[in-house]
Amino acid sequence: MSLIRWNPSRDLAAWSSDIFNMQREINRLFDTFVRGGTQADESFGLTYWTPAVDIAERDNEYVVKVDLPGVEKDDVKITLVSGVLTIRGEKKQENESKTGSFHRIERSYGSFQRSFTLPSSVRNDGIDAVYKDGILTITLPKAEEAKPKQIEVRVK
Amino acid sequence: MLVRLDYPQTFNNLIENILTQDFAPRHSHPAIDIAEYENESIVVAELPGVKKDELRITFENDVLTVAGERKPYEMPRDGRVLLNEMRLREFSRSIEFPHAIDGDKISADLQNGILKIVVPKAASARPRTIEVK
Repeated sequence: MSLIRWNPSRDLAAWSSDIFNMQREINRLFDTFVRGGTQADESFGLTYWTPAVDIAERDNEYVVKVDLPGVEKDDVKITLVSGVLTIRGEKKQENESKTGSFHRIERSYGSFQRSFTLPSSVRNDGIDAVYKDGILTITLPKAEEAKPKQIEVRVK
Repeated sequence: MLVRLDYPQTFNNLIENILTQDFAPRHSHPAIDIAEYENESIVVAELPGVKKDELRITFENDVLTVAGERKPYEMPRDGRVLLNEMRLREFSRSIEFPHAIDGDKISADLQNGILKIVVPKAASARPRTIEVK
């Protein structure tokens, strides 16, 4: 075995490239967060993104809000199967915008899907979904047995 | 119990928990696309839940600025938050174009959470065909 002269700059180079990779990865995750949960991951040849969601629980219902700017109403499908609410759809790039030369593309296009397990059962017949100002609002009324009940204490 | 299915959200949560302390960011940048055509540029910004009168669009010193505020959803008295990912509050973005702009003819339209601004080029910046005599 021959002795190899230690070259500190080579070690440093390998080490710093690791750091840079890590930094890039963190930046990417940070970007995802700052943009409100939007992500287009092209490294796998897929385009998908995650719309931001707010969910509130009220005494009688759940209110789910999804940020879907520029998504056509017919491109969104909402399903509720055994307590799992799924919102899926696609955001298409308008045809006209394909002909220009782009200076910046930050918006995410493609398919999205989000699923949530609701904490308690809902009434299947009263579910309502409204799309306004780029926000989809789904209202799911709770089933009778899931509503809070007040039990009065009797004094004897 | 709510179950999240997507992995990046878990990481977001982690950061969110740190950031929602006192130094939470109140300023954010909406995503924009900028496309250039022969006679105009088109800026498209995603502004879900933003109303027309919550937007300010200005053109000054050749810089186009879109600023405004997204009002948070008003929680009813009996409401509890189960999930909160919508983060956009105050926002501002400025764009400088590499060519002259006809500032008087800029027009903007807000629909379905999408703001579309048409920025016409000044006559001097439009492509011209020169006829050979």
